[in-house]
Amino acid sequence: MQGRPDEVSAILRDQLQRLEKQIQMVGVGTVLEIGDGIARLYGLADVMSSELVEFPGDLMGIALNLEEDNVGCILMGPYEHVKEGDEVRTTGRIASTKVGDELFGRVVTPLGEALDGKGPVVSTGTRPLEVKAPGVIARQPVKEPLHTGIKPIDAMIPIGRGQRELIIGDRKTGKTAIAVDAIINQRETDVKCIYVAIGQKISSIRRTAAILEQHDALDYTCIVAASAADPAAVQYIAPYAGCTIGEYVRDEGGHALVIYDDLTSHAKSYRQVSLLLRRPPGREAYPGDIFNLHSRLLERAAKLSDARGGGSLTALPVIQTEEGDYAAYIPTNLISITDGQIYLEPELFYAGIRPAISVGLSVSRVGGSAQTKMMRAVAGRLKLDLASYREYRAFSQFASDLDETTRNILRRGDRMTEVLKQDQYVPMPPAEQVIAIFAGTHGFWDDVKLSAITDLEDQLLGFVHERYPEIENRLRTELQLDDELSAQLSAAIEDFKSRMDRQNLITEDAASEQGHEAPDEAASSDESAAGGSLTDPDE
Amino acid sequence: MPADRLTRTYARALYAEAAEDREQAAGYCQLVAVAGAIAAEPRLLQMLKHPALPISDKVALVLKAAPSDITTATFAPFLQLVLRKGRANVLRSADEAFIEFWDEDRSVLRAQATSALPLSRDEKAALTRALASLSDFTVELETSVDGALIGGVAVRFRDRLIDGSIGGKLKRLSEWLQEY
Repeated sequence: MQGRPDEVSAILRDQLQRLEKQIQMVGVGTVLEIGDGIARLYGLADVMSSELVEFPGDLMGIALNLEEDNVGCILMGPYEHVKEGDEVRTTGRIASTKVGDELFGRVVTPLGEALDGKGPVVSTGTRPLEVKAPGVIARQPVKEPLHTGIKPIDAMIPIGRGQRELIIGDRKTGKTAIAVDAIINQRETDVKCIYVAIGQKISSIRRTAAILEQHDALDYTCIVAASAADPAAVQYIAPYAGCTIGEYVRDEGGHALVIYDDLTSHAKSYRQVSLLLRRPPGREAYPGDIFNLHSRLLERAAKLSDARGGGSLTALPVIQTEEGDYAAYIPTNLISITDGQIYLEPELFYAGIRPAISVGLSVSRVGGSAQTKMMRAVAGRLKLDLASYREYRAFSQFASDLDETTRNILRRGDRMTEVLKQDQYVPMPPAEQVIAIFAGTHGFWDDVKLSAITDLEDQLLGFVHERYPEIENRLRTELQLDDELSAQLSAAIEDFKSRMDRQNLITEDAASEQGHEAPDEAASSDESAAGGSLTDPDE
Repeated sequence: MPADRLTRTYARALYAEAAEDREQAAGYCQLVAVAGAIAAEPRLLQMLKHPALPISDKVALVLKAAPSDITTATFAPFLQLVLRKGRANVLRSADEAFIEFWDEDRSVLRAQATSALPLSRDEKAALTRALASLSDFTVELETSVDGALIGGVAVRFRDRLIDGSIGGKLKRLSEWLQEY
């Protein structure tokens, strides 16, 4: 509570006077049956859809099914004390959550209650969990980049502010790692982050919070936690709560990034709730509105028009596939809803290519408009080149004699794959990404040993930073790479190469052999270099 | 216990028969209440459901417990139907549904007033008048005492609660302070 004591006294006096005359009329109902986190109520003829209803013992529920002779309701907490025949009251309030700057730096439940032991969350306001997404007039096209700090994403699958980009992959392929890296990378930006953990182990949520704290990222991040131990109803509302917190930032003209980790668990919790509410099951026993469940959530991510403050809410939903089956029901739903997907392949992950992003299956439908000019200049053809490299690489396994062109493509592709590898929790600023990718795409690493590239890249960035700071400064400020700056950068890299250890270069004979290097062999030869970066993907 | 959809369907059918005559309706109301009381007793309910007992014996058992001066021309067939269909559970709350239909027909509103102290006759009359003017129904008021209300009165009718009690006001104040 803020304000002077006399102001507070006046407010209290006013409230007490009004209370004197207040007579409350509420709808009352009776518990018909209760169990499995669901209650059926008799009465409550005037209850609204999604209205909060109050059970004995301060237990709250949300009215979801308004039927002819009963109301189906999900329960938001322990309900063992509630029994058949107990009285239930309407509150006149639609299910809502706390919003405001006070939530950042906190771990909260979907209703905004603190879970981190740092005291209660004193927020400036509340907002309904479910609101309609902004319309066409209220929006503007996605055009500002939201850098994740992850080279392959920022270069090939750029994400814009207001975009919905799906992170999809099997378990333990690095989905959460990408999300956490994207959050850490916002440290120097004005983007507020919301991480919604749905159906995760409490220990995993705790670990994510610790990682964010360790990287000074918790101050601008709100973690909305609905763990596997929480009722399905709480897990069901969690992403809506996270979205509502992000919308507050967006509507205030700010920028927010919300991560739903993951919507597979969310779909399962909604299926549980729906089946218990006796809604008709459809494919894979999901209810008929499972598509709408996710589309109405993700539609709320938007870049608002300048007239509406120009704020943005970017969404990174996460989906877990089973055995790489991205054509399953929920993944295809999400793929069709979002503006692109980052597909993580277990084969790449175990081959040491991390982040294990499948270039062929990943796409950003917003494309180059969410990229800086400098990144477009260096990475414009990268995606196509890498995709064609992967094809050549697959076929080269069956060929004994390769022509020079094919060998060059393979050599360049191997090196680009190496350049795009990145350690966890080390997001890279855009200017450094451009230098690193420039060196690869312009063939500066073509005569360098694969295993040395990661180290040399670090050395190159340090070299440019120290000896040619004006290049980095210009990239950072102008955000474009003209011919003059390209020439300067090329000269700087040549200078670096002339000074580097000659042992890192490959010999003539080895060069011709490089083309025959099978991907697995390449990967195994990379292990020594990439070994230090082998980190648990989902941790 | 509130009547479910099935119970209401049976009760509506019975009421449709009984509604032709006001006195008959009152009698049927008593009969349904007796049947409800029997069905509420688990051992008697078990007996009503028992497949080895003839339905006529079960009907006779219920009618024997009913006051002898009530005409049961339609009630006996109703009981037979319910028991033949294996719906003895319906009897448990059929009286509530029956009364609801009957009240609706007579424009009667049943209200339950709870106060911290017993209400005087004048207070009851004033409350009845106030409720009648609010609802345009004839109000049948029942009263009870609950010290937890501290003061004032809370009136419940149908699925509405008008809470003018001190306890309710304090609760609302506490919620407001927590939110503030």
